Amino acid sequence: MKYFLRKTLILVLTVFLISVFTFIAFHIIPGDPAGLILGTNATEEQLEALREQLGTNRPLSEQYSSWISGFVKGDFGSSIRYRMPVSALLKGRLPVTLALGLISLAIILLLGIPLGILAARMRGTWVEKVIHFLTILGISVPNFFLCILLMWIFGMVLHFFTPGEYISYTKNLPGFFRSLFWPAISIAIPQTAILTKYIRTAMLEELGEDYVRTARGKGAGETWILYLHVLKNAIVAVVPLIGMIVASVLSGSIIIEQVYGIPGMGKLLIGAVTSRDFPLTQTLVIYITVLIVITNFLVDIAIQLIDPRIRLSGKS
Amino acid sequence: MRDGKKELRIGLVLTGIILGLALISLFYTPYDYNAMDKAARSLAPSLKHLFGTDSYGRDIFSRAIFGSRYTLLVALSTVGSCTVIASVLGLVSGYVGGILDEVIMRIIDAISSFPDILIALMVVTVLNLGQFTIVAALCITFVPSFTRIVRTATLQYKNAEFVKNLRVFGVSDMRILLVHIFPNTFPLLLSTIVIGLSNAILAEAAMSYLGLGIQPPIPSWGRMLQEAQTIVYTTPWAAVCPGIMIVVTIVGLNCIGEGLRKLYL
Repeated sequence: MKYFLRKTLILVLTVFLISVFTFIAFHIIPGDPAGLILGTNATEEQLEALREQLGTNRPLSEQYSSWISGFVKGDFGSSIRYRMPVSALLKGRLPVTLALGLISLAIILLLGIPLGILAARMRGTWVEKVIHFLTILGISVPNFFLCILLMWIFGMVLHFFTPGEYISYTKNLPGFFRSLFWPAISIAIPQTAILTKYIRTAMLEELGEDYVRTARGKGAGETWILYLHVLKNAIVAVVPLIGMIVASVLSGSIIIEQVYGIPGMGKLLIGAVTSRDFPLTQTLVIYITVLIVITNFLVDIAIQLIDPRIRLSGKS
Repeated sequence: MRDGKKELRIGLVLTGIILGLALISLFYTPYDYNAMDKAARSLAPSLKHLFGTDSYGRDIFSRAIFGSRYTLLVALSTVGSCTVIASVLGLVSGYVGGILDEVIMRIIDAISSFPDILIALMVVTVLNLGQFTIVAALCITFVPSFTRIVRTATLQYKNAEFVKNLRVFGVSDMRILLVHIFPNTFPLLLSTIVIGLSNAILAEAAMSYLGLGIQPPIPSWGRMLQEAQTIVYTTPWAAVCPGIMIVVTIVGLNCIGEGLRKLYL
């Protein structure tokens, strides 16, 4: 319980710092948001009126407190480019990015864990070498290059899917998931490679432990040892990785949505950056970062619950 | 062969190839990187054009090796400036300790809770997009991890016997830090720098792909991939060539980093 409270406190502090950082980053800049909105041929009165309306002529601390209190209430300000509330823009796009992220995460776990086990199980054989080679390649390939390759080979040559086709979830739910499958693969492959590498290392480390020797001494078969003893401990060792994977999946989707033209938060963000839409960029940055920080928080709590070593040492 | 030596060797060969090509391109490229040859549009790879030509008739191999210098320059200046900043922060934070350490590390923690690409995007939005805004953007994303490494190494040596002796002899803190502690952080820092370079190249490629990194007319690998994407069906080689250059560089640097880590740590 004490642990939980401490973690919550750190979470709150981190979220606060994130908001302050982002706020400062977008407000210390040379340049006037009002000038940016109205363009170069605005009169001084127009500028002054807009500054008053945006509140950019007030002291920074005052601007921060009014902005953050609006943020907590769900009022994220208005986008300069789209001239509409940011919350309205987010509404339709959040489910798309979340669905893309979840599919990617599922692929990563469903591929990474078995491959890692296989590599550990077949240690010293060509199977392990092939997996090792593929993991090195997977880690080194930029996901957008992978994307282009997949589009070309599976989309245009083999006709498994139509590149650039996106089906809205409001129209056709199965079609929506189908259209997200290949983008999700592109996001998942680098992370799958990392997870495979970790699982393999964790399994091999566990295989050298005393309890494995004891189990072998008692006559337990290799399969029994691997799946009943080693896997359990290896998975515990990998749980902390989930937070990092979620962060990478969300970062990956920012780029991949752009490549495939999927209307999610990532595409919105890149559009906001290129048109220098400060309020929209600011909100999206905070949104995505807080999502990741909360995931990490949940992972920490999960580790606490799963791993008796940590759970018990926390109590004493 | 010692564990790690093989990786180091493979890494050096791969990175050497890329560096070699980049050096050659300083003096010679088969074609001018921006020359458009109307008679040679979308040609498949051949002896005349090693990696073919794009839809404007530009030689892709020339563009790819010409572009490598900017990618490498961005990566080197990013990691270089980041190493300097992180060394100062890490050494001071670790050596002085106390409230200063606490403040620096909390700020570092907060920065590293942002995903790298978000920080880079934020910096690019806030600063006007210049040719090398990307260096500043990437530098900030790498400072936290580098600082932590230097700080950890500094803490390790701060209370070492030889440092205590130096203090007894009245050696100034500044000298202890720079002459006696800093060099001891090198082994750890070196593999971090190599991995940092590979991350910087990946990040630069991603940002240039998004049109937020190196600006035209200078070719860069990420930009070439973006231009190739729309014509990938008719001229797939336009995407494959710069892509392979990136992958070879990253595999090479990762192997060197891994090898160094296994050999020296």
